[in-house]
Amino acid sequence: MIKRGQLVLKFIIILIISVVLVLFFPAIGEIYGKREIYKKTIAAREIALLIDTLYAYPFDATVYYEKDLTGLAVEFSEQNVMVYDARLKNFDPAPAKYHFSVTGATTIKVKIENPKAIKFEKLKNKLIISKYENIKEY
Amino acid sequence: MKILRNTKASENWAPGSMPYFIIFVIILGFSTVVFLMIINSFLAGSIDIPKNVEERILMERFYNSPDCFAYEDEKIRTYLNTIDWNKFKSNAVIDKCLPSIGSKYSFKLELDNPEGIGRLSVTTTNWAGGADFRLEQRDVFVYYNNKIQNGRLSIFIQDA
Repeated sequence: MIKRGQLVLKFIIILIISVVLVLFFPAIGEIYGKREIYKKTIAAREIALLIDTLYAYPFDATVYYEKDLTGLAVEFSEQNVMVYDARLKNFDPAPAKYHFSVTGATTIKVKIENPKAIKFEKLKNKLIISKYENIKEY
Repeated sequence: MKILRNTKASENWAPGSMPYFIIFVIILGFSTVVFLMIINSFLAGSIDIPKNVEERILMERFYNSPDCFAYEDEKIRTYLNTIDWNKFKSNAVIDKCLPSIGSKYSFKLELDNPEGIGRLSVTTTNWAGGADFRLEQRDVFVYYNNKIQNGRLSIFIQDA
């Protein structure tokens, strides 16, 4: 015989699974269906390569990554760049992540949301990353 | 067979029972993770960066960046494609120049000097050794004893 307590627990588990299924799977379907995952992955890889290239350059430099990433968040932490949905934040089921290498004990911890462009400024071995809004129209 | 015979304990594993339910939840979570991993691996393969592009970008820093082996004079002017012999004497510089934590590649660098100074070698901390590597060679300048001379840099690359 099933006790009343077990029935409540079972109901809670079913509720949690239902919520996960209702929210999680349509979100994944939307991400893949809209091909947003490609945009995120390409952005993460391009940004990582851009940082690696800046560190191979011996002098100070400023570079603008001019790709509209509205709706996305770009987070730099330790030696990784992560691009994910700005609405879903840490709950994005399919974030894009890529590794880059900085020299020395430089640590980068920046989070940028909805950027139209990102500014990378390298001064010696220090890298300053910021959101850039003043994009020129060509 | 005894193994197929229903016992009292096996009723616990009947559909709708709590242990069955817990296992169902675990399998559902596990299959979701596997599903995502499979989709992501297809995606990663379809838009991968060519290996040699990424390697070349990382290699450039060895002989061009003053934080790596590039020679920098007292006026803090960096000489491109010029390696400072003194910086090449220990692994400390390469560890600072290309931290191995999380890196997809490991490197071993050998610097030959044709004018009889000899050969120096440094490796990143994640270098595993062995014969499984790709080799790139490059003519460089070497700053040694207040003079700039010709040298040859061999870069051994492994997937970390």
